[in-house]
Amino acid sequence: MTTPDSTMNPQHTKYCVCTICDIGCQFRAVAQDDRVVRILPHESPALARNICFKGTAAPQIHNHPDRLRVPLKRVGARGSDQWEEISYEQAMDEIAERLSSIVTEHGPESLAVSTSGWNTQTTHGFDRRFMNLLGSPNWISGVSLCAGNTAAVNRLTYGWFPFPDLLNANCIVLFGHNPRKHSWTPLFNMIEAARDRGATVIVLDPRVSEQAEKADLHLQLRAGTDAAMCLGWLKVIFDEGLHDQRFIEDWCVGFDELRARVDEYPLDRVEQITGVDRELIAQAARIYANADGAVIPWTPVTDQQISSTSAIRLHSILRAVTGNLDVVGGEMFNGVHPGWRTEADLQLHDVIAPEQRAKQLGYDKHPVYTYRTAEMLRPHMERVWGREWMDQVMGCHMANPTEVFRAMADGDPYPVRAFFTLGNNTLLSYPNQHQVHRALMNQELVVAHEIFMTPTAMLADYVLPGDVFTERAHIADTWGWGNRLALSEQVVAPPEQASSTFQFWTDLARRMGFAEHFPWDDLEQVLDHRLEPSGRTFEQFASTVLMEQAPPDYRKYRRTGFATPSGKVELRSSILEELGFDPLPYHREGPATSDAFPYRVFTGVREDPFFQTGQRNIGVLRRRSPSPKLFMHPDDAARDGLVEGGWARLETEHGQVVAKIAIRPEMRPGHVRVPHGWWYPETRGSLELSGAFVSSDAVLCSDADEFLDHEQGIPHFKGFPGRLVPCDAPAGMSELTLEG
Amino acid sequence: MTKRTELEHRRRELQAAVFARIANRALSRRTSGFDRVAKGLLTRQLGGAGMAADPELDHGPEDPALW
Repeated sequence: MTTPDSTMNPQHTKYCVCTICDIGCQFRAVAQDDRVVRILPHESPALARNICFKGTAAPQIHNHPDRLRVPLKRVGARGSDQWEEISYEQAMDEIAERLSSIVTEHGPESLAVSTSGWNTQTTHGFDRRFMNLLGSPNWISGVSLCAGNTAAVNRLTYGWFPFPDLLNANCIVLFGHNPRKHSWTPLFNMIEAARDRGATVIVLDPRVSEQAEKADLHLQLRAGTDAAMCLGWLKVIFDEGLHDQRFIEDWCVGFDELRARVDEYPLDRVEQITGVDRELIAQAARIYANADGAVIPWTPVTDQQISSTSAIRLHSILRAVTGNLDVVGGEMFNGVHPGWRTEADLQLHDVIAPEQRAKQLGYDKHPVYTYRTAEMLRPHMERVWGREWMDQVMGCHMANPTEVFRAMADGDPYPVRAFFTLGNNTLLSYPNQHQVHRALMNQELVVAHEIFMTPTAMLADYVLPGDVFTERAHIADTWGWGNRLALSEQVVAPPEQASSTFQFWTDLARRMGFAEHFPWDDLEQVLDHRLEPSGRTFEQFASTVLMEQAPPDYRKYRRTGFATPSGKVELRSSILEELGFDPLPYHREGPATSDAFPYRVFTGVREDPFFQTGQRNIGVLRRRSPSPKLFMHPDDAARDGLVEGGWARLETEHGQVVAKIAIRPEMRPGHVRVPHGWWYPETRGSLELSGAFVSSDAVLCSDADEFLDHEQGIPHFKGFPGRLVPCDAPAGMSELTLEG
Repeated sequence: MTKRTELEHRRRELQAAVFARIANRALSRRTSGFDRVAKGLLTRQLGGAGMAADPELDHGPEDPALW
């Protein structure tokens, strides 16, 4: 499959932005006879190393015999995986008719949509555009647990989600984040380059991760205690006068109140909470504060804790009080590329009525990343960034997933009866998988748009075949986080009736009376529209640019202030206060372990061959990690009678899964690390929903109110109680899984 | 960070702005004029576009008998 055949038609090579994971590496794709046959590194030395073995598996993925190629309509009971093939036109006609009927009966808010922008890539904000025209605010995504929520929380403090200047930073702090050669590859390469030029790397992680092994300082903290650790760092910084007094005086509000809160966390208390020696805590804080340019890059770990809002805010506060905001080597406020319309610019958030926005699930209870907070920031965003609605990493006006699934399952507070899932294996992607399952089973209409049959798609009424990145043209813009525009060219045609999510939303909107708002007939026309402020067409852009970035503009706040109600960095958040929450950051203890559940379980961990729940059906990747593995310390394994490679059942108060044991001395004792998103595509037809409940970490974590972060409603994935019991291998597994 | 003077801030900002301009030209499709110079500068600084073959990136054929 990967070897070009010289007897066939000539090969051609195009530039692509990979979407097999979310980081968007740029490389070249070689095609022959309308098939991608090989992936090559980019020819520019600046980008050539940004390639991993997931990316080079694109030919195996894109040409896979199991790709969905025609629309499917359910003919058996929901979840029975029985289908008839129908035409795309029939599928769209029926979906539009059934959705119209549901909206008429239950209101527009009875439609919810879950999507993953990095998988679908070419939605161009048209999902929200359609929903806003219809009147539904209930859009959810995995970014509510990963980066999108970080963006929303960052905006509370200084009105933007900054981008770390790793090219110039002299200190890099990784809170549990573990970029590797084959995961978050560009970030890994930048950290390596920084290390080579002498930058200090500090890692905070319960286990000795790959990054921790190479770190200058490793703080092996107890899982889920990031907020307390940051409060300890601030205690050291303030007590020793390592803060940027001038910046604080000129550009921050709430310093005295913050300082009083920080004083509640002396190092002996922080040591007790985090399990890290106080001298090590102080040493790390000093290195960070004294560095000439320091960054705390986004981390999925702080995103997923019971004190997530406080911990993310504390990262923001550390950046601010040490003078690292929007300076060279610090955290850049890139703004939007001036020649480009963002997805938020296309989403028509002014069209949906305010009373419909207020129906967004989560708006009242956990408002930080919902419309409620975005509405409060509107005038300040307009003042600083020139647009009222700014959606960084898609995450700044979302519904809360838990609230959506409750409404879908139980009709509380109102019924959600239609659910669309696009490039998003919803069933395994959010906590409390059994509730998600009940929610999906209780729908009148479920539509999936996917490239492969997933457990979630098996629960749909209609499954539409999606395209992949080599089959469409695109300009990748980091979803409003950076201001980079990167070219991705169409290499081959999509197979049979596969098409983009742009096409799906356009065709649905035109069937439901919104044709005037969807005038673009193809992706190139949309890209022309988005490039219009630059005076270029897509064709002109593609013929001249591989990647471009708007010129850097540092310390902009001196002209505009910050996009907050005070115009300053809000160490004490006026928005949180107005929403009824503690305006100052705090540590909140996660659920306690007990004799019955002695381990701290942390889930949501990414493995190199896979992105989220994907790629388990791609042999060349699956062979690199054939089965899910629970990492644990040797002492713990010995005590519980668990052996390397043996199967164990991981039980929590909420659910149970099975996986293999991997004994790792680098693990912190008492902790169990669980990989994310496991299911078994090879068991389709023999196990229910292809084994979606056998090893999926989403089964384990509760989303009951008491275990949620107050402000965002984020579940505590990092350190909830569990126990391990030896068990037999589960029935129905392939030889590869059992042996691997 | 707190020790950086205004002059030092400005020097670094200028340096970063110049670098960004060079980077954009180095990542264009044009191969003449200043873009060619920029590509040459980047290649000299980063040691050439060629990356040594990395066996970790290679895959065998997709094996239908895998399952």
